[in-house]
Amino acid sequence: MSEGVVMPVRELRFDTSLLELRAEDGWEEKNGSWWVAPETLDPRAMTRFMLAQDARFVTVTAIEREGGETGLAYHWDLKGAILTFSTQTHENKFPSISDLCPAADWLERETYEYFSVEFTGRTSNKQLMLRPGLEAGLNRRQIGKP
Amino acid sequence: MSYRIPIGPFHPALEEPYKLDLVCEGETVREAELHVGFNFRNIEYLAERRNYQQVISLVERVCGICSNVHSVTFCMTVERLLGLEVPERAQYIRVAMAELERLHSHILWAGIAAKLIGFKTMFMSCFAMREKVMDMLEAISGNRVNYGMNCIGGVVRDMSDPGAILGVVDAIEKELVGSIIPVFTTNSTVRDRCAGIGVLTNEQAKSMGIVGPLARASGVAQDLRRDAPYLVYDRLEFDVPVQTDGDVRARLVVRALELLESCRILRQVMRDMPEGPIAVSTGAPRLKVPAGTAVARIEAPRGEVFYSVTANGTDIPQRVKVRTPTFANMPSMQWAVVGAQLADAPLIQASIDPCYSCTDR
Repeated sequence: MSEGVVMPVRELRFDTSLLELRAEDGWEEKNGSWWVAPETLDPRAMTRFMLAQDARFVTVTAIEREGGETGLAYHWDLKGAILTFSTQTHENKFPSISDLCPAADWLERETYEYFSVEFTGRTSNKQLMLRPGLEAGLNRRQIGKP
Repeated sequence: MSYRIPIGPFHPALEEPYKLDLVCEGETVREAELHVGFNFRNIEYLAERRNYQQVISLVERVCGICSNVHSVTFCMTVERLLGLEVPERAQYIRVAMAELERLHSHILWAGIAAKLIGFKTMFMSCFAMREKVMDMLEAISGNRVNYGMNCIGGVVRDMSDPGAILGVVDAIEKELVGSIIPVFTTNSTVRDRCAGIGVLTNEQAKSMGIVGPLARASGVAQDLRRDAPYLVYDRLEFDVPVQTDGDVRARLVVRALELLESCRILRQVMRDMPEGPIAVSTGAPRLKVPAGTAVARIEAPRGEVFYSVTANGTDIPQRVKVRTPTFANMPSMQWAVVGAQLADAPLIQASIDPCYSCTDR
């Protein structure tokens, strides 16, 4: 999926009909995953819903976007298929899901260190990969330039 | 009264650096805190400054044990973006390399586990056996660690002597059945040392999203080779060993049985591999990849490896995301050692089969 190729849908209703993966709900199967890109995504509703379906949280992929924002793609494994929810930060902040899904803890810490995304609601942001003295947002172009 | 024991970042149990802070009461571990990042190289960032051809070599350096897994997964991701169909023979060769890599990784782990259990003759047996696999990988690829076998569109070397591979498979299977598996599954010393320690329950395994043999030892019956088949795994017959106890012994048993399954897969690959080309031409190294994002994942020796690649139409990827299995598995260590005896902590952490080079990237 190129950035923005998937038709955006206004919002997702997290009921089991979502898992029918219909095009009218915004789903598109491409390049190894099912993708959906709602205009707004409630990550905590997504997490509760996916965990209730016995899905496994695989990872979150962050990508730098203009205006200091960061694109976030949440990848879940559901019965062998990858379902990806694409969204974007607001003022480079996004709600944390790590209290609902412990598997997200290291991933949020890493995303903060690489892209300085502040996951709101976290009680701590302990250093993971970076050594003391390195600035968060290491992989953002304006910071990471040699 | 509690006291804190810092283990690492450099320590005798593993060659890779990481740090574990244990809070103990007497001999019992009450809390554990894990520190990683000592191998941090920012390979994801480096990959966004090299062309696709160069990134293959770069990602092969993510891990010194399952190096092939990373180059295969990266190539599969880019092949999806290009809409490339990889020749069948190349797919079989990729499976053969993946299973040989699994064999040497699991045997390496078995040796380390034997050493930590105190079974040093078994350590020597395992490493002698692993050497046969390493020699075979070297004979196929010319290399022992970073094989350089993959390119976008296929593989760069053919397998010219399947009979030699079958000979190694026979020899390994004989040793597995004759000594390694009986020791790991029935020996009373091993059982007493490993049973009931480092337990991860099925619920814990699921909530942490752990993968690979670690998850399968806790009753999570997932294996991408079966559940989301790639390459030619859907044509191969194999079983997915699962245990439910979630302890160190269950991890031993799962990996030991998986060794036999890899032998079984390799025999089928050597029997069924068709003649034909081993790659399609892509115009590398100045290959330009159309804009888009693709993902791919495969079942590495330690579990799922996940890649996401975003292309922007140039010869350099815009974004390369790598999620390694140990990154998913390692946080569970903090649960596995709590309540354990301090003396068991090294064996418990080794039972996860951690790879810090992978974790830190």
